[in-house]
Amino acid sequence: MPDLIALQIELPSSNLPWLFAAFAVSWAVFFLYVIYVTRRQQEMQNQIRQLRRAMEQQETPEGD
Amino acid sequence: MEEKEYDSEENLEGDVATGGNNRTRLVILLLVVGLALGYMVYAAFPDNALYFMSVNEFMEKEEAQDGRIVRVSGKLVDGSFNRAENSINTSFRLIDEGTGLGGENLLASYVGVLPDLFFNPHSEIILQGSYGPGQVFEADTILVKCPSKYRSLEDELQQQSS
Amino acid sequence: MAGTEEIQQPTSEIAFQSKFRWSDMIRVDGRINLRGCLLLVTGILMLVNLYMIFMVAPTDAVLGHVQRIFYFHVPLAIVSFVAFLAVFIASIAYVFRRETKWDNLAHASAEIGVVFITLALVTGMIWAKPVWNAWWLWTPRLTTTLILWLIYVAYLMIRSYAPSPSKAAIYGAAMGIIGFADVVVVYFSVQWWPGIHPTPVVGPLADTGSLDGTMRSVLLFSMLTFLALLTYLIMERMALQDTVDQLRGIRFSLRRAARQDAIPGD
Repeated sequence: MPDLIALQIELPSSNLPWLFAAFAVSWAVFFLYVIYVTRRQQEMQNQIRQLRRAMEQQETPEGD
Repeated sequence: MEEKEYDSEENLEGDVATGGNNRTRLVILLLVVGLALGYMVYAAFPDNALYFMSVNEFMEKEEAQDGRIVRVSGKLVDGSFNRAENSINTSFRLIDEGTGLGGENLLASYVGVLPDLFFNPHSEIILQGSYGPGQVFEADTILVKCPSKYRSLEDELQQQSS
Repeated sequence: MAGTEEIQQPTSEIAFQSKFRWSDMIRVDGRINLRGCLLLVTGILMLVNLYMIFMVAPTDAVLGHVQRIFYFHVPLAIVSFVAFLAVFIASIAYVFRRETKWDNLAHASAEIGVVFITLALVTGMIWAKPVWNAWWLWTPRLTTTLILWLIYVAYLMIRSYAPSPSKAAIYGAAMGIIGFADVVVVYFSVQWWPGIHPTPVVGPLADTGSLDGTMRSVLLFSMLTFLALLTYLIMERMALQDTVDQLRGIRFSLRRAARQDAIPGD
C-alpha cells in the first residue's frame, strides 16, 4: 500500500490504460456499426433479388 | 416522393394482429422513460443545484455541521498534509482559493488511497462526508475538480524555469 | 418477418456478393461512388487524426496524457448535437412536406446521434475515473446528457413499436422536434448550474484562452474528422433505409397480387 501511495505523488502518467480504453472503445463501436449496416444492406439486397426472380418465374412459367 | 404506398392499415404480415400489443409496449415504454426522467431530475437538481459549497460557506452554515452528508470544496493548504508512516490514515486542511493563509480553513481526515491529482496545485478538492466531533471533517469520498484550462506541459515547464 | 422469403439461397449469389475490388470504392458502373469516396476520405482522416492526437498535440500540464481523450470526447458530443439538429430540421420538414426522404434523414441521424452520444458518455466516464476519481456523478451536465441519450433511445424504440411506418414517422417527428430542447439544456447546463464538469471550449460559451493554440487546432481537425464520419454514416444508413422501403414495397405488391388471385371473379 505505501508503494501505491508513493507512486501517486508523481506525475499522472500511470493513466495510459484509460487513454487506450477510450480510443479502443470508440473505434470498435464505429467498426461494429458500419459492419452492422453493410451486412443488413447485403441481406436485404439478396432478398430483393430473390423476390424479383420469384416474380419473373411466376410471370413466365417455363419447364416447371 | 409521396407517402409510402404500402402504408395501409393492413400493410405487412402481423402488423394488424400485433397492433394492440405494440400499443401496450409503447405506453409501458413512455411510462418507464417518464419515470426515469423524473428520478434523474430529482436526483440531480433539488438541493444539489450548486453541487458543493466553499469552505467559507460551510463554516457559516451551522446546519451543515450537524453531521449530515455534505460536499465541501477548496484548495489543499500547502504543507498541511499528514500521513502516519505505513498507514492510509491521512489528514489535511482545505482553504478557499484566493484567501490568504490567515483565512478560515477546514481540517479534514480521510482513510484510503488518494486520487492521482490530489497534490496538483491546480486541482480543487471536493470532499464528501460529514462534520464529526472534534471539529474534523470526516471525508468518505474525495473528488478532484480541474480548471477548464488546458495548457501544454512544455510551456508550463519553460515558464517555471525562466 | 420471415415469411415468403424462406427460399434457399443459391451459393453463386453469395460468391457474387463477396467479390470486392478497391476500384469499386471510387467508381461503380462508370459512375462516381459518392459513399465509397467519402468512406475512403473518412478513413484517411481518422488515421491522420490519431497521428495528430498522439504526435502533434502537446501533453496537458495538469492531467498528463489522459487529457488526450478530450480530442475524442468533445467532438463526439458536439457531433451528436449536430446529428440531433439534423433530426430536428428533418422532422420539421417532414411535418410540412410529408416526404419519405425527410423521415429517412431524421431516422438515420437519430440512430447515429445515439451512437455518438453513447460514445461521448463512455469516453467521459473513462476520463472521469482517473481525473475526478469517480466514474459517474449526478451533476446537471451528466444528468441532462443521460436524459438526452434516453430521449433518442426512446425515439428509436417508439419508431420500431409504432403500428405502421407513417405512424412511426409522425411519432418520430414529434419527438425529434421536442427532444432537441434538451440539446440546448445540455450545452448551457455548465453555465446555469456550475459544477465539476469543465466549461465549453467550442461554441458561444467558449472562453478564449482556455485552450492552448496547438490543442485548439488538433481539436478542430478532430471535429472535422467526426463530421465527415457523421456524414458518411448518415448516407450509409439512409441507403439501407431505401433498401428496406424497396423490399417492403415489393412484398406489399406481392401480397396484393396474391390476394387478388385468391378471390375469383374480382
